[in-house]
Amino acid sequence: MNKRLSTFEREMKNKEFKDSFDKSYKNFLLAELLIATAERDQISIKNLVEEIGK
Amino acid sequence: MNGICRLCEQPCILQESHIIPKFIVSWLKDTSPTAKLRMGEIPNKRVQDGLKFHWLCSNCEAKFSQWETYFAEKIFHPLINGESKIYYDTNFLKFSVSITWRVLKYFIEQNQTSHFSGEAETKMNRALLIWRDFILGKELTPHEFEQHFFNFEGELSNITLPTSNNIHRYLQRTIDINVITNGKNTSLVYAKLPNFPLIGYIDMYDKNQWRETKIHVKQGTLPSKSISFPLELWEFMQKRAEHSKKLKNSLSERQKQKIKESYEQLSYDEIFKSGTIKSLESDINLLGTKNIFIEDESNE
Repeated sequence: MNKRLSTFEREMKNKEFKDSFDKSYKNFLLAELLIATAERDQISIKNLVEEIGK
Repeated sequence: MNGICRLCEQPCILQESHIIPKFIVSWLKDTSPTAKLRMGEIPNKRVQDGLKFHWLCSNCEAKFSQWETYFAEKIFHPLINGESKIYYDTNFLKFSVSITWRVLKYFIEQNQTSHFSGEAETKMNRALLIWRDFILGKELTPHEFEQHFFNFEGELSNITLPTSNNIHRYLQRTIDINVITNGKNTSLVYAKLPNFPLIGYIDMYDKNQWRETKIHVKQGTLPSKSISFPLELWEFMQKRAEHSKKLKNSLSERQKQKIKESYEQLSYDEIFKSGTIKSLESDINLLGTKNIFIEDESNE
């Protein structure tokens, strides 16, 4: 077990954290996404790039 | 399938070409407990090996394949494995241009550049031509349409800027391609590979912040980690990380349950040594457990 994992294991001993984790962990099991559509983000992207262009 | 090659424009038997190299998609899947990748806008849909289309002749496909092998062997895997300094040659810029050309071509063909103004569209079309000619060896450089590379492998620390609680999972576990413009003086192609964003300029008003990340024509070195990057790019990536989180949260309960069942087939070691959980842990280490779990719980 590497050092980074111990953070999580230590936290799991904390009841508040463990309860929260047990309740919501299904939401954290997916990380891998392929995003290839700009359409929905148009407004935020435009706003952002306004900033880049300053 | 017979047709015209998108790159050399010669009649040919079209090969199936990936927008994002297959080895990158395979790496993501291989380092995920579920061995699955999902479409961001339709997360309930699984992706087998990325976006692919009958675009290129066998000669052009072979060019891309050669540069992809170079990038995989000399840059991607060494950086993932923690090599401290990477030397690159002419193949790296060819690889990068081949990616930004593919992404831009894809967005144009998907009619996702209609928000470009007339002037921006002219520059976009010129970038596409120059990149094509550079790939084909008709141009020695990509001219003003520079390529930039960032390295976000590993764990971020000492970040004082506002940061998404999904940032490692976004940077390391998401492929995100986009073409961005403000309709005036700044446009770029954004190809965020896992850990490594690639940027192709179409039009850049202020290049000063981008000097350190330029991919040179003949050779160069890559630092082990990007230690400086444009503030605007960082802010952009935070927004994309938040967007990615929303997409994941829109996954149906049925799909969440399927993923949970996939995890239950695996050993503790397989799960906790996976890239998926390591990136989650990096988010925990950076921002604390409450910021990760309790806030996300409220989004249910």
